[in-house]
Amino acid sequence: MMKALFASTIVSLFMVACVMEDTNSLTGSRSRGGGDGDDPGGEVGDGIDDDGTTPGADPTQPGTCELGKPHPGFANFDFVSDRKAGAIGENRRRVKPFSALRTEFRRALGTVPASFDQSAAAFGETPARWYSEPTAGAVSLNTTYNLAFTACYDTMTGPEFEQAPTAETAQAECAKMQRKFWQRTATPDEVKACADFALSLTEETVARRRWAHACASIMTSAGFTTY
Amino acid sequence: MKGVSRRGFLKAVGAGAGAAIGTRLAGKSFIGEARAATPEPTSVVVIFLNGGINAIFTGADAFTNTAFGVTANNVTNMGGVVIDNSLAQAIPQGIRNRVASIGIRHGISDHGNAQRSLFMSGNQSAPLVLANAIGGSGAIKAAVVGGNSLPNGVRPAPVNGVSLQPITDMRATIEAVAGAENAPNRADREGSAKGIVAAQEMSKNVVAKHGSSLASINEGLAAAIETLKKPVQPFNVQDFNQAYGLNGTAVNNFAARMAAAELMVRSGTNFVFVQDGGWDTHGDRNGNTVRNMVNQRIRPPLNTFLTRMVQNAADERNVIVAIFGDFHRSLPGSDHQANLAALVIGKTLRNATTGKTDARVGLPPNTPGIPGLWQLLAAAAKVDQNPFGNNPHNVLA
Repeated sequence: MMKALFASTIVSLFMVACVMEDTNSLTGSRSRGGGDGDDPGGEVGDGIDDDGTTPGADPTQPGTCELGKPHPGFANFDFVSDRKAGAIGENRRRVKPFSALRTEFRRALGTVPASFDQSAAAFGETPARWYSEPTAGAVSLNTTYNLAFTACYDTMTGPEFEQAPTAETAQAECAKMQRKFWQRTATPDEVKACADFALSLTEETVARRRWAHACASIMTSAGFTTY
Repeated sequence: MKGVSRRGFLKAVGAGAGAAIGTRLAGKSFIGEARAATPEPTSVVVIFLNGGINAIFTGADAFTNTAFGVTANNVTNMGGVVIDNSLAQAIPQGIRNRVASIGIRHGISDHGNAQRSLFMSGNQSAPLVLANAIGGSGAIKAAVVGGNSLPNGVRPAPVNGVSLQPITDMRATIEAVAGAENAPNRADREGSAKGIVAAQEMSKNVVAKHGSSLASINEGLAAAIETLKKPVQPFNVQDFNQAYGLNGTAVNNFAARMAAAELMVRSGTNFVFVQDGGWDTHGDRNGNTVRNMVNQRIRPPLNTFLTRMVQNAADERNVIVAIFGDFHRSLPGSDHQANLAALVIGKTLRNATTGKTDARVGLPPNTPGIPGLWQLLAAAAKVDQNPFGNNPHNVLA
């Protein structure tokens, strides 16, 4: 009986030891601290654990945790040694394709300008059954601004846009539009950039056009033209 | 002031002011920073035949009665530069003494490597280095028409702020350089310029975090601001459509690309990249496939461009056109030869060749490589400091 108890205890200890081993080491992946493992671009937690991280450092920056393994080849040369570590969440945004802008205009303003379809070529055409990464350029961004101005002007029919912007109204309307168009709250600097622009258009005598310019500038910024 | 009316005087003053604004020597206060790196408005237009260029378009006399269907009757001799009639007929009589061919012994016979290497200078983009060296006052200094990249999908990093801008629509491009029609709900040029500056300011945090994936946003906003700050340049899309036989405004075929190239040259762009696909012509033993492609889609618009921008505009600008592909087609089956020659046309060139092959499509061992191409193009553009080094091709006028 004692022998059986001793043997089962030994087996149990082995099993516990196996379970306590870092399971990620079996798959080759590493712990990401408190981050959201399903979304490498998502906000990460404190990012501090005992797997190569640097306590107190910015967890989104390269070098704060060791990701990836060496791949030594001939002469023990690590052929991935020259790869630069990218910060977590960087270089994930992409330019929205023209095909997405129609619904984006409708979401933001409730309308699509009449000249929208004629503008497709300005954004480049991708042959059928082909994919090419959308890119922006001077002409496509200028076209975006023009389309946005028209759509903004046509929809800004409320009494609040009959008055020229003031410091207060410019801040408030800019923040409101940015929140809606970008689907996030703008930083104070971003609100200020928009409000300053609206206030600077003193030579524009039509208040509604001043507001339309402010609106178009938000829709031409990366917050709207990228995702 | 005898014989000069008040209206005439005002016209003359206006013309003088316009000339001052238009000149490359205008000061920063007029039109932004203008660099006088070349003595006159200068553009280099590269027509890239994606897949390869048959040597019958750069030195056909190497194959007379032996290969690629070349005979004494289907070629044109331009002062020793002998090329197939299909392409020769695209070159107006008035500039046939301004045609040269230059050899490029690059030793590459795979498409990807050739397409990448032909447009690199060290670790920089050769077209952007050239566009930067030419200087000038154009807002968009380098453009790709009908696409958004160099061959093989390469989107080069900017050189000294000069980026490659895609031009895919004539109407939208003309609106950018000339402004849109006036209407209550249309953006005015001055307000748009300020608005895109504001958009740039609002974008800076996002672009800073995504510098690589949003590089085109960063470069595009900067180029858009520069474009809107320039004086209005009047262009009419109907003029281009009539000259190049176009129906729409999308830049989606070779004729539209040449029309867009003219628009960009006239708006001050230093380097324009035009690409045509379908030139990987394996099995074209008699050369008829490439002859037919030149006849059907290259010759008419190329002739229009060369007539309007090289021959007729020679007094006001220096436009150099270089035609080449990945490599020459080899014998006997029109496969991949590890060299090529470029046909170069412009007022700073003369009839001469360093690109004539032997009967087996070989070039002499001392033929320069890829750097020689860019050294020649920069020299033909008359840049004050050649960023690529001395030109090894003795083909300049």
